[in-house]
Amino acid sequence: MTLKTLLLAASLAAAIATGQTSQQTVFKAKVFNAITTAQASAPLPNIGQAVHVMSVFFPTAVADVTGIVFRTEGSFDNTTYFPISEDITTATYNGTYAYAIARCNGPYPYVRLRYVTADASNRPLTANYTGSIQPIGLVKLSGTRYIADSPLAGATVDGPGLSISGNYYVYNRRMTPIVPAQWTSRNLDALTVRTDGIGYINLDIWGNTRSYQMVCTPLPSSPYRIRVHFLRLNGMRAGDNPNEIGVALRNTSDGKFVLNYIYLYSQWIGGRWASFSSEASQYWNNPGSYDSQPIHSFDIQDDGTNRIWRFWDGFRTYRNFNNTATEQQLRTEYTTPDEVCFGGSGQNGNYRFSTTLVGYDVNPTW
Amino acid sequence: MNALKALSVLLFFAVTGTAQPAAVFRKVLTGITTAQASAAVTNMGQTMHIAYVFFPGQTTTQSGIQVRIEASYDNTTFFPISEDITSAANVGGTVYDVVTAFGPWPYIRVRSLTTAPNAMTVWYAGHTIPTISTIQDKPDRFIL
Repeated sequence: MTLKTLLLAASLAAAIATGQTSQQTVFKAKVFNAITTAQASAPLPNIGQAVHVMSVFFPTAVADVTGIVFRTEGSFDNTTYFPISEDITTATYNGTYAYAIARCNGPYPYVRLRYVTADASNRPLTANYTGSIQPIGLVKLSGTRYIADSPLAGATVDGPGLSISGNYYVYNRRMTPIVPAQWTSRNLDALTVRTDGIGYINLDIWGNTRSYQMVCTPLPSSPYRIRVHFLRLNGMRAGDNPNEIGVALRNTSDGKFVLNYIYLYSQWIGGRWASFSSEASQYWNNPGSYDSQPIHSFDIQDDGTNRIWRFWDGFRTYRNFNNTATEQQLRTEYTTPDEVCFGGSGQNGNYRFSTTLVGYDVNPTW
Repeated sequence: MNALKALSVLLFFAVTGTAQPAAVFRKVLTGITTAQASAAVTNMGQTMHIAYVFFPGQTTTQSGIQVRIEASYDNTTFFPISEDITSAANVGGTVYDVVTAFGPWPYIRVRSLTTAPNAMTVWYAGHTIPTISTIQDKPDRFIL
């Protein structure tokens, strides 16, 4: 064998050695470039990656972009696709542009990005994709930036809750953390302080008249089941005009709502309200004490016909009255609500009180 | 010169042929209604195993099924390495369910232990790096 042949064989052998290193990551920049309409991408490059990171940018936005739906989808046959990620519904404005990053897992022969619901203001969207064979941890929003956890990270503290493998718990109750931007303030007193944090809204309520101050978000379409979770208030005092806290289903047109609220320490009252400061009549008024936990979870169901009020203790739902009609009405009784509200009435002029909304679930499966 | 060309071609294919894929996919059971087990899937040393059970064309929950991932050391005696899928619900318009298993095994297969109410198709995905911790059941999707 000549020297030339030996050298060629040696260089080829070196190429073999480097060729044995498999590709770990695949990038696809501008999967979508400045689009404004809903659409799905072609299948993305596939090296057998099981980790998928999608990023969406709104370069012309000057505030948070909400009302969008963007997701990653997988398929085994490039025909039937199904979502494999949570939806991106908000792009956070960081002072320069609005963006969002999300991660999901799973090996699939075909993976694509899909812009399901486009921005109503027609701001152009650009989306990028990264596929990785190596794992990464959860991607979380911290202020106005997205930070990925280490793949070795275990349970992490997020606001008032604990995130474990993508699920979120407060006082051992699984729930969906609050997205403050989705809750609109209603009737807040000038001296009331609303504080938005990661996964929660705190209301530090001041008042000296009986008038509900609330934060509200649109209800899902009927039929539905929602759960609202909040931490116990302080600043109550038996005797003179106790402060109240509760959950209401409200109609934004006529301002009426139906409300379940805590009165004194553990007494629950449900009823009809004509306005924030006018209680019309009551469904129930239970003087018994039956809930002493620091966290309360209301489970409200609209089954298409009836509106059913229950409590949830982290494991099961329950009602309190033998007569099931007490905690149930027709879904259109008194008013047909289109938003759910959380808040309180600070009628005790001597005491402020503080309460925190920590979770809101829509059609939970647990 | 001919020998050199032959050597070059062989080495070229050796370079391209040694890149190991990270994932393996296989439709292990297609349109079945009877109890049966798949053949052993391709094994490249994957340690994460996922089985997806689909009921194409169905819109309601399919119950009474029992599908699992099984492993063996000799391709004769198999044992379960996953929980059983016992039903598949309509999830976001598709009737399907998913289960995972972990660990390196010489032989891996998917087995349906019961008759299925309608034609059932099962896919297997295996991956060399475990990236999934839990399966989150959402109203319209599974998040791995």
